Amino acid sequence: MSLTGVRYTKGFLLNLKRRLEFIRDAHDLLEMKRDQLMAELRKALERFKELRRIVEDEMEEVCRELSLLHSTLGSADLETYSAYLRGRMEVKIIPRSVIGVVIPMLREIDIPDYTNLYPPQIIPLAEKTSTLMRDLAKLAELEAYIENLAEDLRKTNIRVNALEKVVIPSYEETIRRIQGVLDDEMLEEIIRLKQIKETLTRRRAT
Amino acid sequence: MTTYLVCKCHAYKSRLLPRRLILELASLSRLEEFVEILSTIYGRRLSEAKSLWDVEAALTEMFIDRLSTLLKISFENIREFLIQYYRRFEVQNLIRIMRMKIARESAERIKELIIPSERLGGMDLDPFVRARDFNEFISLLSETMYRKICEMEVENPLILESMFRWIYYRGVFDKISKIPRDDRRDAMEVLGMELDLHNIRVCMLPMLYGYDRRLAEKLLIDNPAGKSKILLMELRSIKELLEEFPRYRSFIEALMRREEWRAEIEYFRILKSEVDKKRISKYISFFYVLKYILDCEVEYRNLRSIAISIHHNLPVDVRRGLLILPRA
Repeated sequence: MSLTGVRYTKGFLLNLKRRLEFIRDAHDLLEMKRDQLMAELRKALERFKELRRIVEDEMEEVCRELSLLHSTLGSADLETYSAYLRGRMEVKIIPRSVIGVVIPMLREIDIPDYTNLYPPQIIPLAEKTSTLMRDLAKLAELEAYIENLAEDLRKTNIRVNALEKVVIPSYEETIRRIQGVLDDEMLEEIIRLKQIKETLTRRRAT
Repeated sequence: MTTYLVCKCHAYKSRLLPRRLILELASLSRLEEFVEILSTIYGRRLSEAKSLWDVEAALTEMFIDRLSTLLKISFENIREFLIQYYRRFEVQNLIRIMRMKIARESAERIKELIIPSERLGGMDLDPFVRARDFNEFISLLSETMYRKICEMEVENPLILESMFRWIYYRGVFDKISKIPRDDRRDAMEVLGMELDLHNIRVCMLPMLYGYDRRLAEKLLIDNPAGKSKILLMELRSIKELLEEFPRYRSFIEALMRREEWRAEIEYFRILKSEVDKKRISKYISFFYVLKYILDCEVEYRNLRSIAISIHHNLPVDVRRGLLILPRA
């Protein structure tokens, strides 16, 4: 790729050199951001793996408790127990910026209280389900965080590669070309001046 | 006339499923197999069952049939006592209706959840099912034996549930005089055990789940045949409970482990084992009828538990652990 609107002047060359320097700085900065994002992503993935394992265990435990309770109490009783639940689960989400990446953060998870409200038979299941819902919300938050980080990493990578493989080489190429043309022009100028000088010297001698 | 009823109960008892068959049913892998095997004993009603819900409904029907048969062959005082004794299923229905009214469920949905308790001499529950809302449900109680409930202004429905049970047990204890004199003490003892177990569970609510102690005190039910409410209110730790109720150790331990499902099984195991202990001495007494009723309920619960655990594909050893079986 070559730049358009190229003018073969010294001013333009200086301007291009300044821009190239700025682009190189930006490239270095983006590279640093990429490394930081990679480290952050790796840490988040570790956390995700751990939390997912916990959630899976909790899910298994809730399913086990539910099937045991269902087997002992029967479908009708189990179905009517949930009637006393007041309110519903609510989650407040606020956006947060990490290294320029906007991620959703769960401010608070409000799970309806069952204390003093539920018949005793259902409380352990309610407790376990409540913990599971809380952790599921955290897992969803972490998943969104990882997705956004990965998306930003992908974009940063594209930018770094574009700068490294396309923009910087094209600037360097253009600078080299302008430099070459300007050098040729300067050489022509010197030769021309030399010829004029020789002509003037010959005229003076005659 | 009591002798006739007791003899009939002995005959009916022979139709209950043996332990070996229950264990075999618990090891089946598909609900269809369960229905197929049980249909030969339970008849057409079960063979038409297509889903778990149908199986549960068919088992309930069969259970109610067995209990209503006893009403048909009993007379006067015994019949009066049995009707009151069977009101436990009416109370169970009323509690379910109340819960569903609070959840604003439709009458059709509620109908699916209740058992046909009117066939056991109970009142017609249709007006309660069709009540527009919870307030209308409560106002309908004013013309029944549960009228005390509509006089109360209670915020927490758990207290209402407890009131239903209190009215039921008070009624049963009142009717104890209708059964033969020799059986009264034993019948009272069984009812007392039921209440003790209920009260223990309530007592443990603040210890295990942080429930308000004053609420727990309101949920306790007077027990004329067991430990008094005042004594229970004084028990502040599980250790004290275990010392006070050593024979309910397995029940209390299950609650301590927060295994409510196991506590539910232990509740019936304890009752059954206590009733079974008297089976020889009470072989030709009215108490045997109560034992037969408990055996019917245990079989109903066992079969329902097997059907549901097959549906959930629980391991065979877990399924067997959920059964209420006499020791081999």
